[in-house]
Amino acid sequence: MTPLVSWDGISIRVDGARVNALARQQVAGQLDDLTLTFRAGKIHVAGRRKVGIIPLPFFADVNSIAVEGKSVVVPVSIPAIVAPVIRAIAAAKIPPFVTVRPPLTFVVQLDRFLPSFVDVQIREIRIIDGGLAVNIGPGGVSWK
Amino acid sequence: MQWDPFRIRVNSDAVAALIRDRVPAATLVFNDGFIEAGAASFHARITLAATSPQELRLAIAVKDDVPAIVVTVSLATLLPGFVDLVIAGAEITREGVIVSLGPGGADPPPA
Repeated sequence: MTPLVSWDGISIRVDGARVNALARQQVAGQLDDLTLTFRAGKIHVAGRRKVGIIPLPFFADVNSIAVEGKSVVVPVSIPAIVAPVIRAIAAAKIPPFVTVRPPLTFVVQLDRFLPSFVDVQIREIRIIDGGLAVNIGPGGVSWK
Repeated sequence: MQWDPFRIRVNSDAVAALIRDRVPAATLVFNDGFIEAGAASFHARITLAATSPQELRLAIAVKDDVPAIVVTVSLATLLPGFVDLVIAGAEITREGVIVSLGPGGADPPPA
């Protein structure tokens, strides 16, 4: 079917500070602190969780974000010793459109966000200073 | 999120098919600069009257000596309030309507 509306390509930038705020909101009550810092080629994650009265810090890095069809794959590099704890925290708050692959890779299904008549193809997601650069390929909206 | 300027195309064949679905007798023929619309004895020429950052105005002229009816397509009615999208320009071509959109952004409210 010929799309009613089509486009060739769109470049989008996602603000890292806004992502940070959303992430903090998402883990409120699970973690005592969480900060995402966006630098070219790396997202550094720093957090803290109290176990009893002792605040335990943890760190993780995201060095790349891949696109697999209609899913975005975010592998998180984390020390093996804390991976189960982080997985448990993530599992408690994870939305239904996100799955976790061991050791700690988040897979976000984009088609859960988009109606079936919208065809969006993400070509690439790059981690840049201050956020993400998303390259969206040709797509369109069909209407029936 | 923010985006740079980009263009969208509203496909002439898809629009014509959409109109025919609703009004089987209707015809819609796209040309460079105008659209010829017809149904039974009705005939009109549709041109772009004006564009503004938030609106696209279409002039529908039925007769040469009668002022055209102006229909305003407002982005505000099509998009949620948190999306900042502006029209930089538009043109009617044989392939459809090409709309140039300026830089913009969206700040979705928290879930």
